[in-house]
Amino acid sequence: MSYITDTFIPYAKILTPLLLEGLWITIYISAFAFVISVILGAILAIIQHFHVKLLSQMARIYVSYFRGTPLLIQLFLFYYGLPMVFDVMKRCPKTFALVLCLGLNSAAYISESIRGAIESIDKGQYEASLAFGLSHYQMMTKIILPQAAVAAVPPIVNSCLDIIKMSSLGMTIGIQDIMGEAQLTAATYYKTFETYILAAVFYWILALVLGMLQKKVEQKVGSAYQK
Amino acid sequence: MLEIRNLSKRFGNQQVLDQINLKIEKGKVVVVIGPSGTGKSTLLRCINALERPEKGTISLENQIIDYENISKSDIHLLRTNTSMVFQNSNLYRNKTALANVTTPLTLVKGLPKAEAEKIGLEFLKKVGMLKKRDAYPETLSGGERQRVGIARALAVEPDIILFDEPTSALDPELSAEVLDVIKELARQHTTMMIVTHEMKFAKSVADEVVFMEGGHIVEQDAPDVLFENPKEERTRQFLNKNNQG
Repeated sequence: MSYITDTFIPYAKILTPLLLEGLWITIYISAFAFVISVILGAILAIIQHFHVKLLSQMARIYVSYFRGTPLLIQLFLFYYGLPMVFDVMKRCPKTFALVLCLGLNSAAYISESIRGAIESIDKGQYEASLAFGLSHYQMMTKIILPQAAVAAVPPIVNSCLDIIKMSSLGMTIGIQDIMGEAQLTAATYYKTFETYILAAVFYWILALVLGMLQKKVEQKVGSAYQK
Repeated sequence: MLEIRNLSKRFGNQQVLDQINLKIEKGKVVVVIGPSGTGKSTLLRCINALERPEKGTISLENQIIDYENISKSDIHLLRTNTSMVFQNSNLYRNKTALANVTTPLTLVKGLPKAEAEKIGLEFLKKVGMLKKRDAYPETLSGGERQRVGIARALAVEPDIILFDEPTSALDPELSAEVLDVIKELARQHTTMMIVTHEMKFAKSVADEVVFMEGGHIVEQDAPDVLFENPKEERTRQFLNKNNQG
C-alpha cells in the first residue's frame, strides 16, 4: 500500500494539472480536426455518390492515399517536408499542421462511412422524392441524408475516437497535448509507468464521455425508426 | 385529360413499351391489367418521368411534352401534376404520417406550414389515418402505410393519381382496407390510373380496362365488355387463368 500513498499519489498530484493543460489542447485539436473531417468527408461522399465527373476520380485517389499511408508520414511530409519545398510553409504553426493532417486523414474514412450510409437508403426513397417534384437538393437534405445519418453515426463516432487517439502523434512535432505533457513529465521524473497509466486514463475518460454523447445523438436521429 | 401517343421505351435490347397510345378522361378510372413483366409499371413510371421513354408525347394541362426533347421544366410539370402511390408505399421513413403528406406541399408547392398541416389532416382523415398522424412509417402496418401514401398523393391535388400495384405487397385483409379507400375515390370521380392484379377490384372500380402484354395494349374496353366478352383470344386466356378474381 505504501507504493500508492508514498509514490503514486504525490506524483499524480504533480502530473494531473499538467495533463489537464494537455487535455484542453487534445480536445480543441480533436474538435477542429473532427469538424474538418465531417464537412470534407460529406463533400467527398456526395461527389462519389453522384459520380461527379473528374471530381469523383480525384476523390477516389484522395481517399486511397489518406487511407493507404500512415498518418505519421502524412504529418511529417506536411510539417517537415513541405517547408523544404515551399518557403511559406515555414511559418505554418504546428497545431495547425496537426489539425489539418488529422482532419484530412479522417475525412477519407468518414467519407466512406457516409457513402455507405447513403447507399444503404432504399431506392424507393429517391423515387418518392422525385415523383413529388422535390429538387435534388431537397431530396438529399430533407429525405436521404437524415435517414443516412442513423447508419452513419456509429462509424463517425469511431472516427472521432480515432482522431482523439491519433492526435497523440502531435507529440512527435512537439505539441503539448496529453501525450506531449506525459512524455515530458515522464522524462523529467523518470516515472514512465505512473505517467502513462494516468495519461491512458485521461484518454479513456474522453472516450467514455464521447460514448455517452453517441447514445444521445443516436436516440435523436433514430427516433423515427424505433418500433 | 391526359393523353399518351406513340410512347416507346426500351431497356437495353428489350422493347418494354411499343407505341403505346392511351387517353384518360378527367374523372375516369383506367385500370391496367396483364401478365407480369409486360410494361404496366414502366408505363406508369414513364408518365411521371421516373423512367425516360425514347419516343412519344404526353399531353397534360393542355401542354404537349415530347419525351425525345424533354426539359427539366417539362419533368417538373409532369411530376407536380401527377402523383404516385407505390407498391411498397415508399413513405419518407424519417417523417411522421402527417409530415409525409405535408412535405410535398411545403417543399414543392411552397405552402406555409400551418396551411399544409390543415390540408394534411384533412386528407389523413379522408383515408382514416387521422389517429396515426404522429406515427412514423416504421410503426404502421402495410395497409396503413398505403393509406398514408394515398393521402400524400391526394393532397397535392394532381390531375391524375398513378397507382403502381398498390396492394400486391399486402395480405388480403390489409388489401381490402386499401381497396376500399380507392373505391371511395373512384366514387368521387378522382382521375386515376391503376396497375393491379386484383381482377374483382378492377371490375368494380374501372371505367375502362386496358389489357397489356409484351409492351403492347392488346385490348381496351369498358370493364363489363372486356371481362365478360373480350374480343381478343389472348385476353380471354389471361382472364381464364386469373379466374376473374
